[in-house]
Amino acid sequence: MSRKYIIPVALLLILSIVLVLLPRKQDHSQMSPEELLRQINSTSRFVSTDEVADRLIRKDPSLALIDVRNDKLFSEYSLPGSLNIPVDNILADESQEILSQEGLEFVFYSTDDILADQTWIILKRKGLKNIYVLKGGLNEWFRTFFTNPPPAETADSEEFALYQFRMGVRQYFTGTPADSPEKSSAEKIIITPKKKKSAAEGGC
Amino acid sequence: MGPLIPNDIIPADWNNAIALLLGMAFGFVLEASGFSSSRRIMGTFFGYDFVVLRVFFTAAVTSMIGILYLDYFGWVDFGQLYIHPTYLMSAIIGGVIMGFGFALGGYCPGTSYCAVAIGKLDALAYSIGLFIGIYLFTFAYPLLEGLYNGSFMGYVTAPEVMGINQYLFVFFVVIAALGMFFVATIVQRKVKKVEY
Repeated sequence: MSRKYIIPVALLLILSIVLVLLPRKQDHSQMSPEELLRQINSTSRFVSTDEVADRLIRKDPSLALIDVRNDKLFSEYSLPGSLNIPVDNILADESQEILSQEGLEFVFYSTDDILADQTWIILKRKGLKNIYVLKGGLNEWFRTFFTNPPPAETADSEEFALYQFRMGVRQYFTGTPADSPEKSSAEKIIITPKKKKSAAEGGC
Repeated sequence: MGPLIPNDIIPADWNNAIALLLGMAFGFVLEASGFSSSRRIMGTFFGYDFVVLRVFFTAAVTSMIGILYLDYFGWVDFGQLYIHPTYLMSAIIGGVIMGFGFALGGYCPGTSYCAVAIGKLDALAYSIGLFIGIYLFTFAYPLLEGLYNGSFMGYVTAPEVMGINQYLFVFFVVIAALGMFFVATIVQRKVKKVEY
């Protein structure tokens, strides 16, 4: 080999050997503790039950509901169109493949929002974007759409509009007419008890 | 041109101007290295001139090592780089056809334009043949489509497919390149010199 090649050959060899011997590069994709604390204190990760219901009804293609409870609870009840990724599996490769899809907003929910919030923290540290938590979880879902009382008569029109919306959501997801409970109870009061009473009165 | 245009450092209108300048620079370097002579490329095939092998492998290992160092120091994000998709069968068959053309004509597409620019008639014939080939390929496309789009492996790199550390892979490529340079020097010494 001619002498003029010695320096470039030595340079290539040394540089490539140093590359192999360099300490492994640190993974910077994880979030710093300060940044994580700031994001945890921010409430922007929470999505309300009303918003989720509205987006479900509008069939928003960017909404991806993720149930982080175990599969037994998921099979008993889950929100329509949601996907089950139990929190134990959240770091598995196939789960990460799903959660790293672009253009989707992942909303985690659990029975309340504690488990979903823990999942959110883990994934935020992994550097995932577009992840949210359903505020109050399934408990809040039921409270909002199934057990909430009608507003007082003196309430303003906005509250009535919200109540109407929630009743609409209930009808959409269960198929029962929104005002059926009141109607049936009203019928019971008017028809059956009064007839019985009158019959009894007549008997005396 | 990344990373300057996607980051709004220079406006996107500069794309074509930069492409023109880079193309001219590339053509100049090819011509200056003597790649506009078909005999030089043929030399690799017949064993009397290995400049092509040395230039391309030096370019490959230099850019590999350079990119990995830039990535290591955080100046370039390796994950953001464009990786050409791998269609294994069409790459193998296309590579064989291209190698055949190389050995037959003494040019690759880039060097043939270089040689046309300095007025070489064989390069002109080669470039016209290239366009005829592209034209005929469009008619044969329905027949070749399965092969063309088949055995798709995704946007993968060789170390990923082999499952080895990319730094180690680069080291092996450097060793292989240096080994080839060494063997080429010995072969060149034994083959009769060709003056051109």
